[in-house]
Amino acid sequence: MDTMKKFQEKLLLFFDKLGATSSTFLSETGGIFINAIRGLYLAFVPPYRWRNLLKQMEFIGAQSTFIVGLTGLFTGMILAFQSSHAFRLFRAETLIGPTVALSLTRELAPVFTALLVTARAGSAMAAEIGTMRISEQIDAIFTMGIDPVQYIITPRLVASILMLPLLNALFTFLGLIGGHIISVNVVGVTSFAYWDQIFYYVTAEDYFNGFLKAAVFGYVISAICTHMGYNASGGAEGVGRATTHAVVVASVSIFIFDYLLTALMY
Amino acid sequence: MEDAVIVIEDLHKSFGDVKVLDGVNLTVIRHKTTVILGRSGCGKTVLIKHIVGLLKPDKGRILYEGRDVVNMPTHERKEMLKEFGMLYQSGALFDSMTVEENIAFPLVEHTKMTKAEIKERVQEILHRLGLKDVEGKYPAELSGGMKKRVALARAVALEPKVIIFDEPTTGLDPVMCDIIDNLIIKTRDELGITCIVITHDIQSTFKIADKIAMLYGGRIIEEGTPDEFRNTSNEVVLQFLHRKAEGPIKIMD
Repeated sequence: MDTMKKFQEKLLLFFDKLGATSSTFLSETGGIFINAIRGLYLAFVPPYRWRNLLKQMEFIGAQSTFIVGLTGLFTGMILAFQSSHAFRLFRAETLIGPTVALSLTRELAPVFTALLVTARAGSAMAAEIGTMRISEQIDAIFTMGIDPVQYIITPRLVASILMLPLLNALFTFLGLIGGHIISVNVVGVTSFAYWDQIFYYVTAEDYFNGFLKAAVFGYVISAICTHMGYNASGGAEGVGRATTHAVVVASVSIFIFDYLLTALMY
Repeated sequence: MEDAVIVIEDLHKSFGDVKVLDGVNLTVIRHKTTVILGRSGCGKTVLIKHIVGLLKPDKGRILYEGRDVVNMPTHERKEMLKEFGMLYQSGALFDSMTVEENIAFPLVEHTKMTKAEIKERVQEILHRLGLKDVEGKYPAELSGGMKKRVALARAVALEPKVIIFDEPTTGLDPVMCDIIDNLIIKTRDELGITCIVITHDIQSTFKIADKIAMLYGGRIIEEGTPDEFRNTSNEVVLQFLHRKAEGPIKIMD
């Protein structure tokens, strides 16, 4: 009888925890969704704060160029190296170019760019907005008769949607250059064959879908990171928690949305 | 009948199981300073957050110039808030902006003034509040008292009708407390602004208040002029005013 009771208690506790976790998950997802919709809607409502938008574009886009470019270059070089190993077995080294190009345009460039921006700008968004929340700066904006969502979140969403495709282009371009360096200098493919095969196999659609993915990822990560910061509570520790949470959820979401988009596109 | 700017009627608010406000009634009179006195954590901040619409009550009404604040449409509230200034406990200055940009912020957002006009206005406010050579500094470089004064400068920039002070003297040295008290009196007398001050600083209260209201247990338990407060027989108020650990006020922690 006693063991039965203990078992019942444990079962109850399990469902209790399950319920609490799913309820948190649902309210969090709902919160991010509302934040994403409202934040973007307010971009079309005056007043338009161009200075804020440009500032965010500079931070999210311009300041990420070095790290995105460097990662792109090395990704292309690694891809060329690894695929050369397999293609050498078939004497089909000229296909290294298209392999590198297709991997980059369809998958690696948008996903890596989004992960890099999450780590660099997404974490900063969550931390900055979280600090504004706990130091009452967001309340101060509200009590001045200004919509804090429109002032703080909207420019970050728009800037991310605009800048991610550009960073994606940079990543892809430098990745192709990296692939070229290895193919020509290490594997021994001619420069003409490298580019010729890329133009033959890679279509405009591949590039376009990559850009589209990047834009969607930009929207997703900025919506998540701003939401986490905006709802931070509990002092310095709370801001730290919000930042970690933002980076983790945004990174995982990139892969989930990547799967969904890939399934829809191809 | 006194000229009321803000009327709070039967305000209730709970967070989960904790009842913070349990039927607050309060009237704020035009061009006067109303001090809301109470212990830390008794719900003073929650009460003022209701006045500006940062929180929604569970029950009750708040009227500003006869208009219902609680169910006010967003655009109307934005207009109303331009007539309010708020001085947060921490100052709530934008730490990514200089002092000048902080004070200019409401002017840039809400007026059509030119850059030169805004610069002139900022200088004028800084001068009036006795602040010199701080325009280019960032909030992190300022002392506590300076931050409060800059925050006050930002709050008065739009020439509001009502200013709410959230614990203006907490954490300041006695001299700075007196400077801030004088500034509150000056704000009321020279600019004709209605002031609401929440505090637990008794000395400051008697210096600046035209009317005092004591918040305890989620209600206003005593209301009156400073003289009426000095002669009160309410034991809770007496314990508070005389800084006694023993008395009817129960400390849980």
